[in-house]
Amino acid sequence: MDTPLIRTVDAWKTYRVEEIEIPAVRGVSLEIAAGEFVAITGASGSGKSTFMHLLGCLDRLDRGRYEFEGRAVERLSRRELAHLRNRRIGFVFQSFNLLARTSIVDNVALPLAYQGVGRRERRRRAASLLERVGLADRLRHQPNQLSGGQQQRVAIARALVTAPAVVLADEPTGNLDTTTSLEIMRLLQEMNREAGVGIVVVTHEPDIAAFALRQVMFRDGQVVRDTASQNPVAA
Amino acid sequence: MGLLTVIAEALHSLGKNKVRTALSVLGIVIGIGAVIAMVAVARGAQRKVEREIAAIGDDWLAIWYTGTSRGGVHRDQTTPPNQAREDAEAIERECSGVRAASPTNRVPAQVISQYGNYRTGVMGVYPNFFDIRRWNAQVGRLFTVEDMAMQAKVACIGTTAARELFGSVNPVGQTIRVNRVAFEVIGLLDSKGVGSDGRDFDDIILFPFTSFQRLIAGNEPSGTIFAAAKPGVPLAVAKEQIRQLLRQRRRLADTEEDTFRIMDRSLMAEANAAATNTFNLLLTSIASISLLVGGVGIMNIMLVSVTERTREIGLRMAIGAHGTQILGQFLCEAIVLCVIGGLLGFGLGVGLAQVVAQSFQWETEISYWMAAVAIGFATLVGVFFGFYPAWRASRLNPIDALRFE
Repeated sequence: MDTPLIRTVDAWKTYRVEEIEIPAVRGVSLEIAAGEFVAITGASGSGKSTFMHLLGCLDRLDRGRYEFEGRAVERLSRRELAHLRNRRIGFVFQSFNLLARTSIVDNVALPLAYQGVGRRERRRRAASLLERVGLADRLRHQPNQLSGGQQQRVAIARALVTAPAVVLADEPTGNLDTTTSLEIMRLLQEMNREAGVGIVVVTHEPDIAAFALRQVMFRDGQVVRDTASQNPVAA
Repeated sequence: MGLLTVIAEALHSLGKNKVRTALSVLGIVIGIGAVIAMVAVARGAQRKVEREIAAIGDDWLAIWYTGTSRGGVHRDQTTPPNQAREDAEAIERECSGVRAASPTNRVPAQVISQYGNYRTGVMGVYPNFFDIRRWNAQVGRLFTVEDMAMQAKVACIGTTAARELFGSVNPVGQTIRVNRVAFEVIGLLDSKGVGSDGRDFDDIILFPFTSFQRLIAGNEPSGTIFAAAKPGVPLAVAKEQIRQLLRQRRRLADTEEDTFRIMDRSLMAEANAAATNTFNLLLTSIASISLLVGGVGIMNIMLVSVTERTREIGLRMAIGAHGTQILGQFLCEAIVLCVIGGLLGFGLGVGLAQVVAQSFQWETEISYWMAAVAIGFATLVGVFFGFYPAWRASRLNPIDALRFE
């Protein structure tokens, strides 16, 4: 069998808030194959977001193992982790996290800057992705001139500009209305099908999770259900 | 990313938040500008005093007779006409620490030239007086021992008196009349300028002592003796030698007070220098406080944006920037800020110094050393407070930086 894109074995993460230890992720073992579209669901406080931060190498796990494309993440240096996030992982956040007072095209191009890609080439690639998410006419706009849905499209374009292996989306529709949420999910679904990029969406909304081909449910820091969806929402 | 890219990125980032950038720069500009301007004023004042001291000399003494005071009853001194002369010669001969001594006599007199007349101080002195007071002729010559021996009717004139009597005409070779006696002006003296007490050192005409006593002062007893210390001899030593000699010559008993006073020229110079030093200290303190306030301003602006910048750093790390790239960007931003602020502050300081110089007719002198210190300090503060939060943020896990509040 192929090496899975993501493989965790008995992953633990505990937060310590004023002497009290709060275990957020308690022994999660999970495999995600390349190109999968997975929804991680669960109530708030179930540890799903923390688990996603671990997957994204934004945080380190306390115990257990995490392999990304077969490499043991816990043994990587900070620099190697930065490299991994830059080349192989794309992020989409609930609050968009775009750089203020910076044009859309430069926002999207930013990850490429850290790869040493020249300014002209960065902008060309950023523009072509913005075109794919339907914002070709907004390149020079600044984030605060766009609607929430448009900003999230920009964030998706930024996540995809480096052609990563997987996009990790943390409550990507949390700040959006229903119609816009569905549009964003359709966009992610489209990218998954056309570009073959893996998508992991963290959400507590069942109708958002319904877009995924596989749903992993968290409760109290553990996986309680892992089901393949027979009828994902059609694009 | 290459260095140019980093600088371009820093400039771009600074340009994005113009208010923050402008406020940071302002703190630096004010701090540096104040230091440069104030130190320039202080140094100007110092220079003026130094020049004054150099002009009037700081190694001479003035001695004059005061008479005696016994039991509260003051007895006027009856000084024989030649006493000052004999004392001066004795001082020069017998005091080992004295280079030269000259009796002098000064009276106010109406002086007449062919262009007009003018009331000024006329003074009879020995030729060595020029050495004691470090006076040279800028045109013509100084009178000599021979002139004095011959009781020559010659005079050396100060620039103020010369201007009043002759206007722009060269006074050397011209004739002046004092008490209806004609004297030939043989030398125009260097300008000594105006003392800090307002006295015009150049408002004077000097005559050979013998000629002066016979033709102008009559047999009026002469007054003040001027004496100068030998190079390397402390003024106090020369002063004490003169005191002992004069007491001996007066046959004063140990219980009796001096019947003369010796004024130390350096005391006045020191008083002046002390006043200037106080002034300078004040200006330097104000300048330091300005610099400190500027520094606090820089610090505030830098720290205020920590939250926003920490989140930005979190995001940059999430999308793949590693620590060095982030630190490079922030360090570069801080340096660019400080360099811009430093240059503007330097310009402001120099401009302020010029405005002060012109509006108050003060002397100013830019101290490049202090400018360097001020710019260095502001840069240090700016770079530290611009860089330190970035450094701290870059050590967080990306998720902690992203969630920073």
